[in-house]
Amino acid sequence: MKLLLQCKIVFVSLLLVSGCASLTETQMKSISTFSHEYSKLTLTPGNIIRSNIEVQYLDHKLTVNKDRVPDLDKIRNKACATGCDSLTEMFNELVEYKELQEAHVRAAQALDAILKPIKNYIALLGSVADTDYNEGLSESSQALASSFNAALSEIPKNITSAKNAINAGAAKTTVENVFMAKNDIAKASSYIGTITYWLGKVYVRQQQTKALKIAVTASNPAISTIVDDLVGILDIYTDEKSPIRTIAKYKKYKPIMKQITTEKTLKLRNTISSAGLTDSSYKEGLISETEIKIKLAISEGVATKKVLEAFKKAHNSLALSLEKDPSGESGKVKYADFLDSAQTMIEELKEVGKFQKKLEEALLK
Amino acid sequence: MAGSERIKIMKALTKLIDEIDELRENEDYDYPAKKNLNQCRQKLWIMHQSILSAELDERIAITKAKTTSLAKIAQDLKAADARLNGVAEKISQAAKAVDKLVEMTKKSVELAATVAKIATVL
Repeated sequence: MKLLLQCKIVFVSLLLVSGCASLTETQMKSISTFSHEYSKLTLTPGNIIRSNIEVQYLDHKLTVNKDRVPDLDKIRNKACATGCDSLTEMFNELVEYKELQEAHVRAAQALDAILKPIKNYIALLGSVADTDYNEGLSESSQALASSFNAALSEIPKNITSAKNAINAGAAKTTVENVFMAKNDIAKASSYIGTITYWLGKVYVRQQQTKALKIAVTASNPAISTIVDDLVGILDIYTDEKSPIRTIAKYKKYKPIMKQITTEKTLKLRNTISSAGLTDSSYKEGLISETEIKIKLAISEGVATKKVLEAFKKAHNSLALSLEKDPSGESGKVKYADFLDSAQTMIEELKEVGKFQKKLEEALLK
Repeated sequence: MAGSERIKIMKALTKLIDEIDELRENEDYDYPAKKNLNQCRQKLWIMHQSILSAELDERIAITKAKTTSLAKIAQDLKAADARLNGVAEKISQAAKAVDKLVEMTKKSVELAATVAKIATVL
């Protein structure tokens, strides 16, 4: 009777959990890894804007000062009246540039900030995909298993007691009924325990798949267009055909830099520094430092684009695999695509990290 | 101004600035002439930077607006995470309850054995 009841429970439970595809532990783990790897590094697409500001400002100063060197004689000899035209002009232009510079700095910060909601979303995807829920259950099942083993090991002792009782002439029916009842209860307990653990694990995994499917499917269009936008902005700075001036032009300015630093330009430097700008550009060797920074920033920008594109592809494949049924053939194909793109993303993230570290070292000099 | 127009204008301005830079390299020009070229260059350069700034601001604002839907999805994921923790906790408690059931079974088995022994004596 009791066994029949247990069979009914198993059958009903199987009906409840079947027909709803879930992800395997390996699949869960790979989604979790994808999320954790992305979260490890902070992408800073704004770096390329920041380094471009430096280039533009350097370009401005070098061009301006090259032709204003004769005026510096007038300033030095106090040959001009209150405020030399060129000096006032230069001051006004530098102030105007300062406002532009600040606008670009804000744009760089805003660009970095755009990635924060994406990072947050990916981190939460990882939490929901985490296998910790099932690991917690397996701990309980281990304790459960040892209890079962202990309970089941009691049965042989009780069989001996029952046999002894029968041999001693006790009513066979009474002893047999007691023995059968003991056996049934022990078996029932072991079934319930096993079912509880198995059902629990499958149910949790199904709920994880459901939550991931809803989130990934809903966010996929937004992720796709956001990545396209970000890549478009980075293209402005990294594309060879970009309308932004490139570093190659600065090599010809080295002799001019030497000329400026050898001139006595105290008043000019004071004017520039009073506008809140540093006069570090008058130090020799600035161009080569700036060149390094620009090259690193462009490399970081290019690597960031690759990370974003791999991320978009991985996310899209994941969405398709969840939509189609992860355990089915087409779902498995899309899942394999997701794994490839996720691996590419992880490799490109390492590249970005390399350039970020070098840029940091260059900026600290 | 549309984004593509801004890019076209920036390209045209970059080209003009480059042409002025070449003119400025000409040694035949005296300083006043170069000064005029310089002023022209400054105006073009500041215009270029302003347009670039406007282009960036617009693109960033459009992209930022698209991230608001992600914030809602992130909230839903947080809630799902909390629910899964709750479910796992309940299942864990159910498994512990079965553990107790096993203990009780053991005791009932012992009790049944005692009853059987007593039955034989009686």
